[in-house]
Amino acid sequence: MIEVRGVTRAFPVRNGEYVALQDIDLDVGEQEFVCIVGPSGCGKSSLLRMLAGLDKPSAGTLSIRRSDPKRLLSTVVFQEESVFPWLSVESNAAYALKMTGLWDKTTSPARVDYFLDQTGLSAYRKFYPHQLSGGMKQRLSIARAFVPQPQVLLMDEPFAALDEQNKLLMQQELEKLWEESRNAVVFITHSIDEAILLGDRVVVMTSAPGRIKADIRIPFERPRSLTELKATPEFAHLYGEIWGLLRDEVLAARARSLPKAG
Amino acid sequence: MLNRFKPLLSPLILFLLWELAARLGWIEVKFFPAPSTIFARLFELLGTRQFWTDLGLSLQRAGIGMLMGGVPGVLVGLAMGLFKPVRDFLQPLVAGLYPLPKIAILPLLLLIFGLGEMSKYVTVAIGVFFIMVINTSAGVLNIRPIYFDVARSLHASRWQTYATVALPGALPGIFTGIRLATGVALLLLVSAEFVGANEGLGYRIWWSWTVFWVDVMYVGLLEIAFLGFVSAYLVDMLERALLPWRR
Repeated sequence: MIEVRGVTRAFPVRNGEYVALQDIDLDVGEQEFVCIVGPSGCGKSSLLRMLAGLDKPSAGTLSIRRSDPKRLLSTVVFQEESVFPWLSVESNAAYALKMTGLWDKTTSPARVDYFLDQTGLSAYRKFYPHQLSGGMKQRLSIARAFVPQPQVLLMDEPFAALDEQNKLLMQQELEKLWEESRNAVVFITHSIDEAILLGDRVVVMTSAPGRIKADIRIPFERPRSLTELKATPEFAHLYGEIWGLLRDEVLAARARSLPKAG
Repeated sequence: MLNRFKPLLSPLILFLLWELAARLGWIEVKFFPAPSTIFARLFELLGTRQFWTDLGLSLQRAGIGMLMGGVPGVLVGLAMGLFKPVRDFLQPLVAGLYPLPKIAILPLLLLIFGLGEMSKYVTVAIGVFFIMVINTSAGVLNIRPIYFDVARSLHASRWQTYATVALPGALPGIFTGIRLATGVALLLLVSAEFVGANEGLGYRIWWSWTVFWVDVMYVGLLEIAFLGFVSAYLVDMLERALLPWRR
């Protein structure tokens, strides 16, 4: 479904260039949920922006194979608040379908209804975003991404700004929504927990320049109950393994940001 | 209920103090007639055709001038906000011309457009144009880039992006512009009518002063204050109707 081949992304800086990503190869299957973890500044978000077509690689290729010409290729859930303040809740949810000409008078309103219902926003459909809490706004941007049933869902730390309790609820809700829709997902996160709970695979990246350090398969059955899963020894084992891989990279990233002596 | 009359409180207090000062002889009523005198004159004038001609003409001039300056102002402002080359090209011009007092070029405008209506329209239009350009382009530049990313990630076309992101995102800035522009429009119009008209509010004020008909002059000033008050109220109503998403 998604094929990333030899992708490098460098940004020009004052003296030379900063290589954020180097030589990335990644495949994501048609119904696969792939989580990417890595230290800050490893270019995870850069990779996602390139997959979304918002940025171009300095070298290499990214492609998303279109299996159904009538389906939207991809939608994005951003980390930042990104619902349009000038659209009502329901218009925000319908935005992707309206923009891509996929709006169908007979079936689309039902899809909007369904996902507003699933994200607990039905009662607020006529509201504007400034009347919603931060968590509700993020649920709305998730609904907006699911409504057009894209082949690929791209999520950039969608829960990073939420409090711990809301994060737990949203992770479980996302798992459930995805069980039904089964899009290919690329999910960027800082949280090892979140990556193991949600992913079929967890891709660990190195500190800058970001490369793929490990690609770990998560064996848990679905549907998953995230709270029960957390209590299992397998979870603890995976957590230890991934943290072991990540720890060195975080330390490396930290060392680089220290002021140099002399 | 009480809240609806709140905006009337401060003008009311001002009138009361003024009336008091006039009656107690603290101020010279020859130059500062009491509000009661002014309002009596106002009611008298309400029955004359001249009053309504002056008011109607001034409103028409302000309205046409605002449209003539406002519509191109919004379009140029959008273009400057959206396209960096346009911004780089026009910014120095706007920055240089905006602070020029428009009154100072009135003689030039009279020379070019004559004493007819057009010179009044253009005076108002020039002032309104720059205000709308500046506020509209600032409105576009203040839109968070993430909203453009959302549209772009869906491969929205150029025009879809303008219509669904740039324009609604710039509307708060545009309304700030309109609010400032209505005041400036009245200001410029009255100044233009002082020197280059023989009817209209500005002309009436100037004329009544030269013939020392002071309370008539005050009626004119009162009308302008009233127009300022009403236009601010109308802009607020319009904003609330068009931008229900603002808190």
